[in-house]
Amino acid sequence: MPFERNSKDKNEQRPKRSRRLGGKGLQRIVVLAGIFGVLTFGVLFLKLWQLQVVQHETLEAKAIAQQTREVSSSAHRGTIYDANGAILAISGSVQNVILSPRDIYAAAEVDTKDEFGNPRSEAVIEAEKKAYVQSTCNLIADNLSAILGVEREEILKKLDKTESAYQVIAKKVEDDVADQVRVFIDENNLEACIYMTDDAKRYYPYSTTASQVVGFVNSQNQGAYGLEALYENELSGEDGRTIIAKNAAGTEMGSAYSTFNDALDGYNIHTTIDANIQMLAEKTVEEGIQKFDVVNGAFCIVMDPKTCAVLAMVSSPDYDLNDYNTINDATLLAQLEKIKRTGTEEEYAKALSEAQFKQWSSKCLNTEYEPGSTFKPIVVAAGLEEGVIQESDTFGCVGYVDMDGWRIRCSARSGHGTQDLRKAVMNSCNPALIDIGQRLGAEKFYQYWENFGFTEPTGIELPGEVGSVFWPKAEFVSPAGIVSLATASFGQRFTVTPIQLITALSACINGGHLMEPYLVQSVTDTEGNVVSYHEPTEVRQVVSQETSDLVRSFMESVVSGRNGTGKNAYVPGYRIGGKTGSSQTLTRDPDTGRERIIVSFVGFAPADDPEVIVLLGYDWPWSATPESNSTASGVYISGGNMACPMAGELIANILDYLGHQKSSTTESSGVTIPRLVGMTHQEANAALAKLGLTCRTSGQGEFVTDQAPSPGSSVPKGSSIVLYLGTERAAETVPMPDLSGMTYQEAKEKLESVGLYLNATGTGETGKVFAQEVEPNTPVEVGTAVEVKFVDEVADDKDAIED
Amino acid sequence: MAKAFKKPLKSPIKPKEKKPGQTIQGEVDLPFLLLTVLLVVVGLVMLLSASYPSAIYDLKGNTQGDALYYFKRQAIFAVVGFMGMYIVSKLNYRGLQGLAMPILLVAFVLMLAVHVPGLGKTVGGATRWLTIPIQWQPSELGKMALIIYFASRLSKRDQRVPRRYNPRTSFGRFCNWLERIGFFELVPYGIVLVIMIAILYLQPHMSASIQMVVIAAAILFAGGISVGWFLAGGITVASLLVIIIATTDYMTSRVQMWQDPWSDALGKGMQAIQSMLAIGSGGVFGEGLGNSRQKFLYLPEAQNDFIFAVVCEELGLIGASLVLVLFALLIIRGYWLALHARDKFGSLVIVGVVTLFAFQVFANVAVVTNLFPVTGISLPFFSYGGTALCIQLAEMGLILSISRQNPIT
Repeated sequence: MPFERNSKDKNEQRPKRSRRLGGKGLQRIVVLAGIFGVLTFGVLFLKLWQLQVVQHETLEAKAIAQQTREVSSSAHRGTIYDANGAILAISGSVQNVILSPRDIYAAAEVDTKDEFGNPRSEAVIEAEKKAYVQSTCNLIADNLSAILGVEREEILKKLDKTESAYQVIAKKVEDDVADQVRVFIDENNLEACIYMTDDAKRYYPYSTTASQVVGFVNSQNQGAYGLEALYENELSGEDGRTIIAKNAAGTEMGSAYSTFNDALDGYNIHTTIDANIQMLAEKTVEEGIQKFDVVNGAFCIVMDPKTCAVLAMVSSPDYDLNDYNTINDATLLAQLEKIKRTGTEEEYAKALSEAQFKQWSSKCLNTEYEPGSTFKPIVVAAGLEEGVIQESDTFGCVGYVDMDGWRIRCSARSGHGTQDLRKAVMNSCNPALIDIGQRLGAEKFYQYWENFGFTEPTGIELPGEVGSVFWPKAEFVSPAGIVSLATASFGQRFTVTPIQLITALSACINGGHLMEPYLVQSVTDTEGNVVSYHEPTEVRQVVSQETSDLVRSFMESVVSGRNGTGKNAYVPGYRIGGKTGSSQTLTRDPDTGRERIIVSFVGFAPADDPEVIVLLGYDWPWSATPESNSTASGVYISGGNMACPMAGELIANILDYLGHQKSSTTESSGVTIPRLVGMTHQEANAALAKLGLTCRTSGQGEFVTDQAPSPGSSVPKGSSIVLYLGTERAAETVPMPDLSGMTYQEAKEKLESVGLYLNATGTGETGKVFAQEVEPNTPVEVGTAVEVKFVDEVADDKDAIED
Repeated sequence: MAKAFKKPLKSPIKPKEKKPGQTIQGEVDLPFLLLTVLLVVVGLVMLLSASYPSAIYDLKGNTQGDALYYFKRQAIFAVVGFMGMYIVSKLNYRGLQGLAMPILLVAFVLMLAVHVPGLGKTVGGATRWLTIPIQWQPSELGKMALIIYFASRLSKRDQRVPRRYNPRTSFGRFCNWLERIGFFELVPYGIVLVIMIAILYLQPHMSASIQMVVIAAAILFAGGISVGWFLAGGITVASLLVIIIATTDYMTSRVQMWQDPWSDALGKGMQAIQSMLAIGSGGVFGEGLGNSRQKFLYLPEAQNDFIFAVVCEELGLIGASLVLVLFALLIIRGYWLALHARDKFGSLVIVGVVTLFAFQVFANVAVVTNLFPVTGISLPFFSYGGTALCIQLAEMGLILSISRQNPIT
């Protein structure tokens, strides 16, 4: 080591330096200073740079995630009301029950020392803990499965996730059940292991009523369909958020770190729907589906024609809003059953979701259909407005029109002969309407098609509204469109939505104003202050007041006229106007070849100043045989025979509900029986003879002590009244006979043969039995006058187009 | 050894000679003193901020919810420590040179005394503390004893007469070769170091052992020992470390946890993760003094080993860097004083103390930033611990004492 010698030499030469560190030592201290004073700090700085600058955001986000707890206070979802303030949808608070398996393990308290104070072995402690956890889990599973109705195995499976502190075992539990859970928690000191969080549940008090209009919320309380979906923002309000900084022990860090946002409750929606009218309409739809073997659902819209406020909107199949996944419709269920038996699981799942979609969507605006003859008033209105036809014009009809190689038939195969405009409408005469269409020309026709609002959705406040399907304008107005124009003139070969059609027809009868249909009258906040209010909105005036008046009067004649195609809608005491329709759809059942027909009727009342307009349609009444024109119960398939009487009755019921007095001109074919009790036999006999009735007597006495039928009943002329002289009417009952399909005379005789009386309504003597007040085989007291409705057989425009 | 003091010194610069225990009148190094005071004050402020949540929540059951519990104690010890520093700075450090061996023996005895029931205290499986007169770690004294012994012996290196062996026998030639490469010279140091580490192994006290090795190496390096020895020693230690890490499960898992703390975020990786979250949250400018959120029980030992994470979170990269700069300045000034000490002994003592200090700072911050695996080294002047603070200030006092006799300043 030469260094040592050198340094030694130096020390000897310069002893004054000997006590201090040599030059090499100094260099080395500088090296140390470089390492420990500069290098290490440089490394540390780089590491800090990496953490505090490069990774700053990710690390900060992770830190904040563990430091904060967001407590949301849920806003109360707004209520949906009908026009009278009845509640269609309302939110209530419910509880979710949550398990924290982690805390069960943590709560296991085992002595770490034995009775002598000596520490026990880990294994013993662990085993004891395990036993405690096991018994606690069993206790929880047994009791909660009993209280909540959840499978015991499922609870145990969730309890197995010992790392988790959040296992939901029951959602949206009602208060009474939640109370039972609370008692169980208290009694067993399981506060740390089981807890409940607030949630909201949507209740629909009317369950199936207006289901497609109201819609429903999904499990996250977000609107999924209908008004619930479209008004999600208004209804949901804003959840309150409280962000609390917490320490690692889970308690609050101090208010300085907290932020609060109050919850804003949702607004209330006030619809124009009248639950009572809605239920009347739903009943009508349901009865019709039963009566006419309808297989593809039905729709019905009730509106105020002046404002186009929707009073009722029915689409069948419907569903229970409180249980929206379950299929209730018999037809859909039958189809599903069939697929369940024959198809694979995937097919069934697909069919199920299709069926659910079908019941959730509204036929009134989510699908379109061929309007058929119900479209004719619009063509007539356009013709009158343009002056191409006059009320006094006459139209000839030989039963068909040949056009461009097509033969278009009229419902009257032998032709209507010569008829004026009113008659043509009453007859629903296709050749006459084709004539009007040709006089209008395709350009004008298309212009009115546009003006009546058919080229775009109406904008009603429901999601998923579709538009019409019509020929492209260029094709329609070209010479090649002549057949299209002809078929369009009587409402075939194009499709519209029911809501579009009823809105346009409202314009035809309300003085020519095309209104924007609406469902939501107002939106209010929780204090009842009006946030927004819907004023009736006119889109445009389409036709003049005069044209509208004339069309309305034509349509009244359709119902009130002796041979009107809508005469089955006639209800005595009300002025009802309307138009029937039977639409061919070119769809056939793939198995049997039955043609799909949609029978419909649009009606309004009172005819001089309409307050309600109703569009009722049944999609595909099932014919008895593929070739048959009638259903299995013998009802001829047409709008005039099916939708028409049902709608007439519905309109009468709605007018009743709205408080309209029946006009006194009752033209019942029957006779009202006076009160005869207390009269002598002779007096009663004379009174009955004056009314054209005969009598039989029962018992031996001077005075009438009882009578059958009861006073006030209406019976046909010539009926025989039973007078009880000194005896009481025996409380004898007979089974009600089935009168369906019978003529007036047949029905009267059948009833009298069992001791009952006929009280005929509807078209009476000329018609066939349409409905009977008492179901067949129901016991009826002898001598009762049974109400039976008769309708005339009406063929409108079926099978209009042939090659 | 004591002879050196009795002989009159030949130094022309400082002819007057003082006996050990005598006070010295020269000026202390002002920059070093100011940096020390500044760091202790900043350390106290940060300790107050970092410690009050755990004091409030009373995690260890000793604070009775007194938010200032840790701060008050540390402040009292700081005052005591400053007084100690002043007294030590007044003493003539050269007296220590002759006392090197006795101090070393006393340190060995005290470090073994921790195993005597009634004297020692065991915390978390490690027996490192004496409870007389207050709780303290005799290994702190051990470090000082090692520094003084090494410095003392190395400072007389040039007086050492090389051993000569009979070059005619192969053993003699071998011994001469060993002497030539400086092996025999190193033997006493090696023996002392091995005894020290053996005693620490009994406690056990891994981090103190590492510090012993580092300061021993630093003093030997500055003392002029051939670089080859450090290369050889470094390679030996490194390969030993690799073997230990690879063969013992405990060390393997610890290294894995260091490389990927997120693999056991709630368990073994928790400390490192919480520390990194705190540092990362701080960003460039920090959340403001007192505004750390991680200190609310997330960060383990926020007032102790991980206090620097709170500094980073509250003061940001800028504040943390400033603190590091203060440390660096103190350390560089320390080495500067070593360069200018009046004698070899003083230089080597400063090298030992400053290197120990610098290594503690580096190791602590490296652990807090997850640059190193977790070891229990506290941050000087910042971490809570009264006796440690007092000992550190006494060490600073020793450096100041050396600086008084600095011939240039």
